[in-house]
Amino acid sequence: MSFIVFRYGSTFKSCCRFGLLRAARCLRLCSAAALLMLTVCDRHDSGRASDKTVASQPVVVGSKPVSSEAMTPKQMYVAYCSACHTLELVESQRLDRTNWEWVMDDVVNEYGGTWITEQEREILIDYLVENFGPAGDSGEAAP
Amino acid sequence: MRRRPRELNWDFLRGFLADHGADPVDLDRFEVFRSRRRFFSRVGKGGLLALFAGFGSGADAALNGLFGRGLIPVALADEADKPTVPDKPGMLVHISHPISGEFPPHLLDDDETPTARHYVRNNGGIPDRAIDRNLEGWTLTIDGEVQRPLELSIDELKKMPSVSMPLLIECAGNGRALFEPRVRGNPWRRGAIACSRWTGVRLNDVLKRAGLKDSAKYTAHYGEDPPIGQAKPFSRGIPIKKAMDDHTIIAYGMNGEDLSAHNGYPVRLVVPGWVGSCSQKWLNRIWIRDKEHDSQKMRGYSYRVPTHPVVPGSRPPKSSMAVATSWIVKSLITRPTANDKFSVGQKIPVAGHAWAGEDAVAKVLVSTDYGMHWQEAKLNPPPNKYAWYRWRTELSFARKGYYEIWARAFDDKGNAQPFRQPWNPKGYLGNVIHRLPVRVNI
Ligand code: HEC
Repeated sequence: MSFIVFRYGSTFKSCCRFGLLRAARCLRLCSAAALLMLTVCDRHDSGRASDKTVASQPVVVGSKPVSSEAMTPKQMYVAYCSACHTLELVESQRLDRTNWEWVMDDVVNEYGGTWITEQEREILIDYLVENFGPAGDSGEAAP
Repeated sequence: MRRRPRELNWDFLRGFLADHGADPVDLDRFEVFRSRRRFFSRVGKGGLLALFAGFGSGADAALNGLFGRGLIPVALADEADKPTVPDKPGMLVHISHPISGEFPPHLLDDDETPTARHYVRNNGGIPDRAIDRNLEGWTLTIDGEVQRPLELSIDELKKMPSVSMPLLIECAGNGRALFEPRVRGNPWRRGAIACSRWTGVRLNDVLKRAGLKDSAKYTAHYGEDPPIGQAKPFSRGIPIKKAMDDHTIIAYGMNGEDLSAHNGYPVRLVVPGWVGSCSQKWLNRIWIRDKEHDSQKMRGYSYRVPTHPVVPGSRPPKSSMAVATSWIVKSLITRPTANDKFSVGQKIPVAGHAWAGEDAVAKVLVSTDYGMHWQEAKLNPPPNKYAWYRWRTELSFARKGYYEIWARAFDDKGNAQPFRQPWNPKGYLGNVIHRLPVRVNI
């Protein structure tokens, strides 16, 4: 659950950064969106108590997940890697560890994923190598 | 217990937002997004993304994160797996936000590529202005190393002498999927190229009007597209010499109409023959610099290629990387379609395009036996130096079997397309020969 709160933390930040909405309105909408998610995504909905947590203390700018330990690597991947773009491109990559490390360096240093900790970085790289690692050749003109 | 809604639809969403304190202005925005939904790149899931896009860049992506694979409500999952772009039917979408997609070669047969088949490569969001087709407040700034900085309205731009011509724009990464070992980035095959008819003002006319100072060396282009994450605004530039070429234009027309939102409405640069990132979309500023532009997308490994051939899979030091500029000799087979079936003896028209960046195409050879024998295709010169050549030939097969039609273009400097893709770490400037499989009586 915490990562959902966190996700809206970053949403909040970016919508304010671009000056598209007044901060208060932005905050309200982000929490409404988070609530909406709770309603439609039952998979991560661990019950009423956590709904309340999200509803009553919605978003702290730049906040980290209270704990990312509760997340599986897959949940972390989905939550973190789709914060800025959709995942199709990530999933069509077939990269070795060196290249995934390189992408991750850019995500953190160039693209703004500064909140990813060293430990999370390792978990994510393992997940990416395992699931989107090198495959055979590129299959041009495959009959 | 909170009950899950039976059906996730627009009315439910609107009601939900209203119940949770969205103010009337936001609800109005909701309606706008709801109607705008058609425009966006995905049905179902895309509609939801579009809904939140208006509430700030990043909100859509964040929402998408929660709806990421495995989390998409089943009702939307089927739809979400088939991205479509209403004004670009048949586009193979590599990523839906920021959107990038290409067309298969057989849909690129036209000498002048229709807007509906012009590839899309976005690094950020599509500006609201482009979606709403709203010119209010739009100006183009020319500043930096000039005598008279300019701020031109669209009307002022349109009052200047105009030119109209088909011009090639090709993404630097076109062909990346054919690199081995695989490299990071959009896995473009062959279709991130187009030769549409562009109408606009010569950049050199605008630069003459502003008066270049002696110190002017390089351009730096900026557009209105909102970056994603904390990425810097997308910006690239070109040397003054290329900026002064008669074919480098500030375009406000595409195939006789206003630009499409995906392709840069209202105004973009067209820097033909050079990597597509030079052709800034949603252009609103050209800053003239006294040195090579040094934005994020000009440095490091971005749009840069090694200054010497490197070991495949290795990454040379940054000091051995140089800015990617013009394209190199290349060709495309647009007829027939991959995996078409023919009969023995049938006359098969074969056709395609060839181009060579700053150079001329000298000839195109075609083979059907893995390069053992070649025949020369008929080559028609293009209407201008930066449009593509048309080549044609006719083939027929005497025996049944599986064949590959190969096309290989040569430029006027004696360079030809390679049989294996030379490698660089980001997969730029791929020009390996095109191989097209066909079947004869099997
Ligand atoms: C803070 C925002 C942000 C986050 C979080 C983020 N990305 Fe990205 N990502 C970007 C930007 C910006 C680009 C470059 C877009 C462009 O220029 O087209 C990008 C591009 C990519 C690409 C394209 C290849 C390339 O060469 O850049 C891959 C692959 C990628 N990201 C993977 C990931 C993965 C895996 C994660 C999760 C660990 C992730 N991203 C999280 C912002 C982000």
